[in-house]
Amino acid sequence: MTSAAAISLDEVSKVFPGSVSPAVNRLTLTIPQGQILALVGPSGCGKTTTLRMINRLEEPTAGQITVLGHDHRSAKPHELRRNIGYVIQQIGLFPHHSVRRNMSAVLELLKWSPDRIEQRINELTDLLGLDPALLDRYPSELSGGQQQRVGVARALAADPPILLMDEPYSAVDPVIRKHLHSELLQVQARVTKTIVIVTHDIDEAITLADQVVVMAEGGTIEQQGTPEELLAHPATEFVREFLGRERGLRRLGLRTVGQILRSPSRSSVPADLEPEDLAPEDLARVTADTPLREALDTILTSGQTRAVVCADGQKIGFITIEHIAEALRP
Amino acid sequence: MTTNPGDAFIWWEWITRRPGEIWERTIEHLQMTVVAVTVGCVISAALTLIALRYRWTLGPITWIGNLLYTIPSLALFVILIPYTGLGFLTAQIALVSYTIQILVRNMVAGINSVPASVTEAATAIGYRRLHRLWAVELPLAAPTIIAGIRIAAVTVIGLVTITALIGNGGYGAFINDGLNRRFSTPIVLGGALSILLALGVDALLMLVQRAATPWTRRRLRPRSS
Amino acid sequence: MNAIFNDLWGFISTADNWRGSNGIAARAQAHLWISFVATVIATAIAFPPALILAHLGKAPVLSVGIANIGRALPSFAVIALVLPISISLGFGLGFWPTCVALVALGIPPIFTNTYTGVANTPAALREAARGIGMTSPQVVMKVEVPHAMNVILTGFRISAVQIVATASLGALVGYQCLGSYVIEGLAQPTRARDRLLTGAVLIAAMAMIVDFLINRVEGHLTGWRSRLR
Repeated sequence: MTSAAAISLDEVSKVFPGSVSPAVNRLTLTIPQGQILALVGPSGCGKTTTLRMINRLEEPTAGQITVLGHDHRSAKPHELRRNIGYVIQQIGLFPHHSVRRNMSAVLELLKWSPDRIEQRINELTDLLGLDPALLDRYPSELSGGQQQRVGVARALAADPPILLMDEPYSAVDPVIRKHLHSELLQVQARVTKTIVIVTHDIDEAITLADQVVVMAEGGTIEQQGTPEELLAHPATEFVREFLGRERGLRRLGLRTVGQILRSPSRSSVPADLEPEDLAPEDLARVTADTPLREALDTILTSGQTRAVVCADGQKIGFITIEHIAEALRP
Repeated sequence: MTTNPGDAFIWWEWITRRPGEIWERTIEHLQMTVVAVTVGCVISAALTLIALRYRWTLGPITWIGNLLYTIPSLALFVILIPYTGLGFLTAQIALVSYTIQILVRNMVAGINSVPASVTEAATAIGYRRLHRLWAVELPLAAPTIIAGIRIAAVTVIGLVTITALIGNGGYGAFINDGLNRRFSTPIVLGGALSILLALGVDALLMLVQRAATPWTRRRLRPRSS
Repeated sequence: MNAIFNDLWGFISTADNWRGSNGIAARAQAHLWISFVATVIATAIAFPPALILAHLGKAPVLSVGIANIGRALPSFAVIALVLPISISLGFGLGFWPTCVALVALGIPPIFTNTYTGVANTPAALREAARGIGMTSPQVVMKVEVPHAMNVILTGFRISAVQIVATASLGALVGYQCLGSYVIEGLAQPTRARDRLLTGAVLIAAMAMIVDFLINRVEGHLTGWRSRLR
């Protein structure tokens, strides 16, 4: 991952006509290339307006926005937008076009040849795990989750370096949302875009983002940092409130059992306890990939204070409540 | 009553003796209708574009459309006679003015019914304004717009009969003839043909709408992703 | 332009033209009276069944059918039919035969709008009304009718305006009304332009006034809607 700025906002303000107070107030923000950045905050904090100013769906009243090294006003709005993917909560698929034509909408605007479009659609169905049988259906014939995938496919069609997402998952149910989260991370691992995602769901931001920006009402930034930094050291009372009461548990969600087993300061198998001391069936099992939050839950639910860590059916160690508590210590 | 054997309500033989006349009247009636609806569509589309571009004009346009629609057709025909004389032009001006209220209302409603998320997505993808109107909003508004054209066509077909009073042909000529001779057969014939033509044109336009908007029909939702 | 206006004004401003059984006053009154009676009867016939059928969710196809037929029905033919039918049945001409034709034309808009308005009451609203213990008639009168009021009144207005417009054609079948000026004017070979125009302008004015008045009532009765926005 490079840390060069893909998008930067410099003292950007937006005052809507007829409104006295600004929706976004002298916001300065750097969005690093190839990372997922989440804008979070309560409704009315200007996070969506900030996003919409990047692809000029709103024009800033003051300040400067640089996209990939150029002032974003140097190109015509529609040309700028064709290079920035955009996904919204209501998805906004074209109801009168098949899934295939929805996915190729930008490519048609860019006047790609039919062969090239066909090839690209095949790549996209593969990338997003879409069933090719869906390509000839209309959007109304798809489930919410499928529509959301097609929306992302349409946004990624021209392989834009930047993807903007406005509350993309708030309309799908929690189970499918979890799927879509892990799919987005898989897609990101393959194509590495600069993604800006607006959400009011702090858990979604923590799950997806490399960088989280917490905004407060009036369009100002309260804190920017990695999820871990935010949870460990909330900068203001506002951020502390916004992150909620379960900051500790949420931090545990960011790390896995494997990460603390591998850590050199802690031996994987405590000296005072041999693996043979307890029959494995008496203890709950976790794997190295299990998030610590889930591992803690597993241990507490089993009524014990430790669990067996397994890999490929083999015991490789133990993890205790104390190990987990230590993980949160600075 | 004219020579009507047995005083029957409908004298079938009178009808079967006149295939040529019926055909001629049908052509006249259709011609009047097609011209009025086509001209009405063009004018209404222009007014709709103005109303969409300059929102404040929608109120006055609607108001004038409603006013024209409220004036009874007979009165409007007669008021126009001093300017445009008896006949085709007078009839057309009046007929067109009735379609405007119906068509503008449906065109504006159709365009406004396009979900904001879809127009927004189109803009964000990089559609320019006119291209978006043509490629996204117009097809999605098509069901509502065609519904308006259907209502306009059916209304106009009924009104065309009245134009016989100011010297036009069409099915109204049968009715007029029957009135002058106190003879029921042509009145029933003219009325029935007018209804049949209206229902036929309506059905035809409905088929056009279904063929033009296939996405409105298939709605099988699979259970989940 | 000026000559036309002078014709019109000349006819209207002549006192003699207002008096007598063929005067403007008598014909305007007759025009209004038949329109009023026909609208009341059409409402009485169309409103109750539409309300009940829509409340029960029955006969949606009938409602669409009535709407379509209503629009396709040529008013000229319906009025013209009065002549042969009424005479052959021995009723003669005049008020009632014309009124029956007007009622037939007035029914469809009232029926369709009442049906659509009531049938489109949101299910949640209906459920909530039942939930707080309303009986079926109470749901109709306290929830469905108020909710559909503006649609119902629009149907009523369309009917009334159409009846006023079509009553002019009653002159063709022997009913003295404002339409008589137009028919007399059209029948004269020399085209009595003053009578023609007077009739047309008075008919147009009456239709617009009726439209305006019912619109005002509509705005008054459904004022809660505008306050919602």
